[in-house]
Amino acid sequence: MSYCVNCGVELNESERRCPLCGVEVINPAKPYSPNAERPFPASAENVTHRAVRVIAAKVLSLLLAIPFISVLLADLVKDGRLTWSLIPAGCIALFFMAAVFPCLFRRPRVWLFILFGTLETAAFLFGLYMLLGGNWYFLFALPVTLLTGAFVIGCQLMLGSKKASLPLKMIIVLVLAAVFVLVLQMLIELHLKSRIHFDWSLYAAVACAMLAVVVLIVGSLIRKRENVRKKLFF
Amino acid sequence: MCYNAPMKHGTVKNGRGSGWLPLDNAAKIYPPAMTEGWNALFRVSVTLDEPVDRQVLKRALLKTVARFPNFAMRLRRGFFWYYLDKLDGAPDIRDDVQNPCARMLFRENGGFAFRVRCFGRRIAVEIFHVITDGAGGLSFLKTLTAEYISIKYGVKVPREGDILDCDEPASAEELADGFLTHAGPKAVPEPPVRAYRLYGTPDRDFLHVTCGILDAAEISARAKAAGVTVTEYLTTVLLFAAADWKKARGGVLQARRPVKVTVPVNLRRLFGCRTLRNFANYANVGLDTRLGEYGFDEAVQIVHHQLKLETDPRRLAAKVASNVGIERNVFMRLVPLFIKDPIMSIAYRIEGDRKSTTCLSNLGLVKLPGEMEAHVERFDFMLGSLIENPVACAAIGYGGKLYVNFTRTIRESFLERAFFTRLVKMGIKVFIESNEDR
Ligand SMILES: [Zn+2]
Repeated sequence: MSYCVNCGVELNESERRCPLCGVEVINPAKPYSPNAERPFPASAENVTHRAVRVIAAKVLSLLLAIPFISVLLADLVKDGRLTWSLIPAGCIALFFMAAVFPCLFRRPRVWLFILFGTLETAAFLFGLYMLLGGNWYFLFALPVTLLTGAFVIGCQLMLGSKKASLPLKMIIVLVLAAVFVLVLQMLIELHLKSRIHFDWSLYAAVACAMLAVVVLIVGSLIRKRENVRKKLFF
Repeated sequence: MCYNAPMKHGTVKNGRGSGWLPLDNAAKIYPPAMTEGWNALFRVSVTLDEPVDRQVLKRALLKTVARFPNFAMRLRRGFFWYYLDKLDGAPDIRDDVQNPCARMLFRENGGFAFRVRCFGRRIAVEIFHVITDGAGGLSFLKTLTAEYISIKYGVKVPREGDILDCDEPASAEELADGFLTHAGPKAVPEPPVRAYRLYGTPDRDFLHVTCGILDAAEISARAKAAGVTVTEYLTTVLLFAAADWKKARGGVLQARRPVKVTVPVNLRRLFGCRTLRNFANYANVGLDTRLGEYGFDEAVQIVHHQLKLETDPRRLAAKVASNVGIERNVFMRLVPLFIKDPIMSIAYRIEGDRKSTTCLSNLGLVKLPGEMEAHVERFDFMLGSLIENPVACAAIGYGGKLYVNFTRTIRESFLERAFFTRLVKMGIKVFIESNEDR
């Protein structure tokens, strides 16, 4: 019989290490024998998890397949070719991609989903552009989509960052928001009136900048917490 | 035909051979709470003096299952509640595994909500909590063992106490929902005090088992010297182990929470009920270490008196009444199961076992008639993983030994080490075995 030198408990012959502390059993008088009778068999039951997300992806695919197929069929049966149904079908496909893609990941990578969603939206709009014609895609729809995607990813990465402090995160998000509205108005003006002009976006940007300054001041005050406590002592 | 009509408390019809059962009050939470990877299981096992003969075991099992109609049941969904539906035969006997109490898939098991496993000289029964509680499970295992020994060795084992006679039909009382008949006149729910929670590196799919074997006489002598029961004595040691964990591993957010141990209380003896189904309630005892340090002798007395207070039959009846009240509530009854199911699942995950740090379930000393004693070497009792609490402790005594099984779903063995090394420091011999990989 062997004792754990660390815990003082007597150990079963089948234990190579103490199950309580992990210290190896070294007993020159009775070396560990792998053939000792064990209290449990060596083979373990394999527990496989059919993850909820895989089930969710399957259910969603089934649910969306029904309207997808029915609109295409309705269109095809009526006049032998696909016309209007491409738009609802494209919408369903877009929703399907946006919802199912995240289900395939074990750990959520939000920025990746947003990137993927942005590209999907751009592709969907391109399909609409090919179907409907016009000159709105490359100069307007594509830049606005990419801009929105970039803004959301930027905010998400910033807010999810572990290094930055909360005031710093808020300031950067506010600055990003200011840039976003300015560029958005620029794109709208360029597309509609072929000029660069800022009015409403300027107000929003100024508000963002002022908020950022407030956050900066409050943040620095909080850092000197002792000062605040002194001033606000009651 | 239904064994006990849920509308009329206490009026139970006997219908052996055909029928169904509504889940008892304690069982109602377990089906909604179960997932693909987890359900509430516990395990009782017996070690014989010779390798188990599986053919004989199968015959014994068929006879025993016929005597315990609540085991011959399949869990089904009704419109408002889950229920148990009659099932013929018995599950196949399976090989034992390294990780006991792994989630049970009923479809792999012929629909049964319990399974019988065999390893060398050991027969183990793993039971889903909808069927029965630890005492009911032990009664099943003892009857199965009695049946096995009488077939194998041709001896007549006297049937007494919770070893049942398989030639008799199950009585109505044995299949009744004791909670309904014994609920007190006033419902008093337990105050929701959150206890300190153990956190560790999760290892959910492998249940680590550490068994400490103690000398029963030594422990009961110590307990007697302190004027308390063995359960109270072990609970105090476990509370100290949990307090050691809190001291060593802390947790800033949890600093204000007391360490508490849940002790299941078998209500059968208290209320004079012979049901084979769930009939247990819980007592939460704790040490508020925020108030200061406790010495062991003081703590053992505090635990003794706390348990005395908590197991006052009137108080337990009031807690049972509160649980039954929730179940009998008109809204609870009329909401369809597909709505109730996710709500109960979430509620269990939130509320679950937050009121305690860990638990200690002691089935007590097993006494067998001489004919069986000659062939039985050992009993074990262990709890499957709980939903929130990663470590659980279960004890059973037999043949002069006390078997304390710790089961955990985290890597850290801190709690059982603190428990057993404290016993060692108190001068009690501890023998350890485990299912760890070598
Ligand atoms: Zn050790």
